[in-house]
Amino acid sequence: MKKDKWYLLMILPAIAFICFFIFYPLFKGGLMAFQNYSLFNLKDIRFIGLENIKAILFSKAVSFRLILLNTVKWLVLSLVFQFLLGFTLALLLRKPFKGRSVYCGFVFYPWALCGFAIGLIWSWLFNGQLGVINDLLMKVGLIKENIGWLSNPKIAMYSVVIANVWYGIPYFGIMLLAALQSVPNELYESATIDGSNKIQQLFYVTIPYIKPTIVSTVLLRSMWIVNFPDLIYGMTNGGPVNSTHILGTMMINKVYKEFDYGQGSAYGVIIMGLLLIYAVIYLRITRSSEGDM
Amino acid sequence: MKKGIALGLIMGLSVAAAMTVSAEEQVTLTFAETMTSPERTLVLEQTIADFEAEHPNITVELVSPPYESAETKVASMLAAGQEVDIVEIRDNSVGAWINNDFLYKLDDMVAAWDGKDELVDAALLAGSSIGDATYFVPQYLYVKALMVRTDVLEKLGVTEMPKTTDEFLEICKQITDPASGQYAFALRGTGSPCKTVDVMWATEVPGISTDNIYLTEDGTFFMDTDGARKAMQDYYELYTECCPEDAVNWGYNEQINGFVSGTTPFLIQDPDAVGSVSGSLEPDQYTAIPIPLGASGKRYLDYGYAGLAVAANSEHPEEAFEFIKYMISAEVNATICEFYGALPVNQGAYEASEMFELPVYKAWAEEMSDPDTVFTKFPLEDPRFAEYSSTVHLAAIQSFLLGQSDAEEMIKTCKEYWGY
Repeated sequence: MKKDKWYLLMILPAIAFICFFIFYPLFKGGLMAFQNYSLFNLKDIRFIGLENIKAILFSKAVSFRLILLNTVKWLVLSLVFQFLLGFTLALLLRKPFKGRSVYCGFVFYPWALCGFAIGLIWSWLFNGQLGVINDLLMKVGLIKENIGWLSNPKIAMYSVVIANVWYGIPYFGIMLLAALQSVPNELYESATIDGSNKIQQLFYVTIPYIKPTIVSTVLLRSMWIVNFPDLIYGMTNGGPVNSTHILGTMMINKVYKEFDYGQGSAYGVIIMGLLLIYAVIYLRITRSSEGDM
Repeated sequence: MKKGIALGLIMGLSVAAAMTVSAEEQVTLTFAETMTSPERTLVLEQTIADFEAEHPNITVELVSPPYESAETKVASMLAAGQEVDIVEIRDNSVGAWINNDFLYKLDDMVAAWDGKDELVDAALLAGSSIGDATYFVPQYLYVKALMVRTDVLEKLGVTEMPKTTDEFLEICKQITDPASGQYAFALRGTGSPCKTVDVMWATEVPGISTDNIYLTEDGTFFMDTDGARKAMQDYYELYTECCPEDAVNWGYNEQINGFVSGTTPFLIQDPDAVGSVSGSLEPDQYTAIPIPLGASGKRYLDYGYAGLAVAANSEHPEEAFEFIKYMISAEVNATICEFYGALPVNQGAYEASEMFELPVYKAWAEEMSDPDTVFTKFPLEDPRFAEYSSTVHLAAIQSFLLGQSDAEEMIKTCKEYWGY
């Protein structure tokens, strides 16, 4: 018993650290979501119940439905392409070849960059007048006129998703490559003896074996994508005509442009709530499909 | 022996007294900058070192939060009552800081300050423009003018500069040739475009209030007038016929890029844009001219500014103001403004720096002293302005320019938001 208490004392600093730097901001953010908390009037901070949430849901300035749809579009498109391309990359890098480490270094490089920097780089690449992308497409004869990648509300979201896919591929590449390297070769040998081809091996050996990694990486990445407004902010600032505004960019807008911490925190609470629902449903589905196997 | 003891006592007392005096006089000030950049911080550090050399009893500690979150961080420090003596303020947030009682009233100190006579009129106006007292002293001013690539226009056969909005639109249409990649105007598409657009539209509306650019003197919302409707139509033509399609998403960097590359030889910007283009263009390649006049015969401009204020909870307001006075003195003001290219507030700064003798700056001086220029204000003190400029107006103008909504819908959106 004495020994247990001693351990408790030893971990106390770590618990205090976590409480102070993780739980306190979380609690404070949650609290602010229900307060009138604007930098314009810090003398009038008071609880206003669900007013901030209501203001967001029924805002005339920016339709919440549009923001939610944009967020779903941003998440689904980014996630699907990041996963498919990242998985393909991991499969290609699985077998050793000369210079693989150097190649991996280059391929994984985007993951090391910060979101705002990526946003700036891609906004110049997509620049309608001077952008490399238009120039290349023009030179190979695929387009005859410059395309306004970031100025056309119909395609701006796809442009920012392309940048996000480029950024996120290495994450799946790294994680899935590590998982692939743990698949025992004996399994493939047995499968080959049983007469399976490469495609069958992929679906009946590789994917089932690394499924736990796939489930956790997809879940984590989903959360990060929803919480990754930096790139959009650098590229389109949510425009044109709010066509690329997602929940995260609205939260930044509320805090840093409008100085309304209350509504900014309310966006944070909404994001947290939606992600919680998503995580529960996702884990249930993946667990029930495990049971089916 | 007695003499020795007496001498020792006297020396000891003298040292103790000297130490007491210096301890009493030694003051440490905390200065929080909000327009942080690594290069600018170096300039400020050097300025502080020079100030400390002149004022050995004052030490200034510089706090440099990252630019993106600097204002919210400094505001949090002030709200928490942390020790901050001097703060950099910006026009878009100073109203909030005054409202929260973060700033010290400087009226008495400004009144007793001889150096205030060295300031340009607009600086004094700006300093007392918000709140019930003088809470800050501007460091530099931003006033919009039409920057022009004279070399590009000359090649395109334009030698006469536009004086009216009609002439401006006509020249823009004349020089635009999308096939050769030549456009006319570096339109501000994102990042609070209202600060440019509203100035361009207001000139078509007679009798704009000097207290609020969004209202006429009889209280009508400025967009809901015939003049503004004409301006909106012109602006639509300007975008669709004289700007790259992409310009609807252009922020500051893209505007500067369009101007420097010559793709868009007209640019409405603040003087700090000179700081951005001067590295790529020779002084004879560009200039600035006053914003063209519309049907009202007046150009309604606001003066943006950034300045210095003393924190309300400062324990050393006198010393803090001493530092502000030093920062506003001619040479220091010139050095700080050279970094940005913004207009210095100290008249002596224009003589202290070669940069401000460039013809392009003379154009700003001309515009500001022109009898057709009327200074007005954006409603920065109104908490709704932040949402209006960053979201409501931004989406409305982009929608209008892209043809998703018409002028009447835009007027309705903006009018309903303000409730005018």
